[in-house]
Amino acid sequence: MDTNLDKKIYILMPAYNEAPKIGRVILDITAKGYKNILVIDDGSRDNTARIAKNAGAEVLSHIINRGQGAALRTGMKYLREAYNPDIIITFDADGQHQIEDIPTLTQPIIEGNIDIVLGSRFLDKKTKIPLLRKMILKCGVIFTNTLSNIKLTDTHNGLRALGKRAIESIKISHRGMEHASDIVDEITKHKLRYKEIPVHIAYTDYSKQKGTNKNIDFIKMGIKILFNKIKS
Amino acid sequence: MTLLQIIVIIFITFAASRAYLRFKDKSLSISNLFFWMILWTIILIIVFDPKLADIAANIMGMQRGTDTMFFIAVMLLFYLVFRIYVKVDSIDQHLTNLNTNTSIILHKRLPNDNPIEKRK
Repeated sequence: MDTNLDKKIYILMPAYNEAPKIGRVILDITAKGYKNILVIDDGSRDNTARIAKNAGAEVLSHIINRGQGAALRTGMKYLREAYNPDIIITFDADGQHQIEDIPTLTQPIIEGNIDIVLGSRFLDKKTKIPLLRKMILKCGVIFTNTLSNIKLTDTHNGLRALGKRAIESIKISHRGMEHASDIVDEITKHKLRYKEIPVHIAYTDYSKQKGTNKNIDFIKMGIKILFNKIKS
Repeated sequence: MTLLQIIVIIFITFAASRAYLRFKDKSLSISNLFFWMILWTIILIIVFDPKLADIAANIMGMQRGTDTMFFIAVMLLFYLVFRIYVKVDSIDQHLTNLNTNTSIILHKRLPNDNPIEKRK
């Protein structure tokens, strides 16, 4: 029984210069029955928007590049206003997330027990994470868990499913990759019921060059989060 | 008059006049003008009567007036950098919001480009 069919599920995909991969990722997702895909083209300089549109996604374009957090904020705001979705799944455009993980992410929300489901690459051994990356990610987990007073195994995983309560209450304030910490903060602030589910992240040569895959970005991210905590 | 005093007078005259001109063209608030004028006046007084810095040093429990002035200057600079950082961050937030709202408005004006709507 596919209870997914009863719910308005939207895939929200922030994308910046993802022309080589995004078309295939969208086609693979639609082939699995998830037809509602919103791509936020974050000021890409390549053909990301056109390719995503041709592959069947709805595409909203930022005039200038503002970062993944800003793209997710735009997507959430637009989806709330235009479609009133039951579930939003945030999914990376670089092909490192697995479509097979989507039903396991949505199931706890459909059952009504959980407001937000977070993917974790540390709950099983499927994901082969490079050692240095693993160490930095673990430091990030300790850092975010301490600041946000929560206990998660993977705080910076882009694959997550947000139920109605989470969609309405979560506000993303950081425009860059630090938005992951915002989401964790919002879970604590609004007392959202959360759950972590093991997911598989495919580290390819392509995905390693994208996003926060440079280790120095994680350090910059930590400084920004700390600064904003002091400021607020 | 020492060379240092002449340099400081020229610099302060320039800086204070710039602050006043910015206040006149309404790009500087009265409170900010007040802050800068007080700051330049204090610096001017201390340059002409360095013993005042020693009094400040005694009050703060430091030995030399110049050390005290240096300490206060560094603290002030840190504070100003923090204020600028906060301001830049606020402008950055506004820019992001503007970007979000513009992209949504533009998208709503072009519904024919909306495959999700087409499927309904």
